[in-house]
Amino acid sequence: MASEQDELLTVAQIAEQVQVTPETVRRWINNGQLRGHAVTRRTGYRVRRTDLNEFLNLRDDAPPVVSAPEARQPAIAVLDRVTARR
Amino acid sequence: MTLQEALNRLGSADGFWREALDEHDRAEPNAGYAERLRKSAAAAAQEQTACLEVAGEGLDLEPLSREDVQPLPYELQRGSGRVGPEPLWARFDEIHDAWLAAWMQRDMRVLADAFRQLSEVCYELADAVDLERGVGAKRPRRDVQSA
Repeated sequence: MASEQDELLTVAQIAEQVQVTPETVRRWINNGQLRGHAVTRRTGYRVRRTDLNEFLNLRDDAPPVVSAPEARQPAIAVLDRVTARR
Repeated sequence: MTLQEALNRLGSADGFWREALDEHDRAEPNAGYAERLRKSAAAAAQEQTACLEVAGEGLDLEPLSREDVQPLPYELQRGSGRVGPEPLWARFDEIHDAWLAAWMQRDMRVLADAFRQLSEVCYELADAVDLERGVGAKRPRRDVQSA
């Protein structure tokens, strides 16, 4: 079972949660401020809740969120390296 | 299985793998060594399955550069006083090298196979460590798909 922190969110879900437009969320991702996974053109971006929480915690105007449990030396996640086949 | 389900399962497998490695990082030397190896084996097998599933959805791996590839925890590395038969650890080291290399290429199936081999050798090492210490009977291997 995927934990809550491993949950993948769509742009629309993030926009609703953070109360911004989907365009703003995409801009954060395109600017590299928010880590997103551009899986395919059809499905669009996915963002892990852990990455969203980390991003929101770095913003001054962010609402308080629950921090993800931190591993001492996190292993590289395969999910972070998934990309569309060329 | 949908793409979303495959990605969710990969996220879950990553979490299990991270947890298994964290236990190696935090562990007291020797105590529970075989159990940690067994947990890593199970986690690697789960990663293998999840990698194959996302590969089946037409996804690839964004290769890491050499400096970004993370080695396994210290207690699994050469020179750390590892318990168990040396020939098996030599095979583990070869597989570990191949696993590191698998992060630096694009084919998700290659990474899946590296996780499979890592899983198999970790199960074998766990059994060998138990045998060396006279603990219980060999446990059957599980969760590893054939290549």
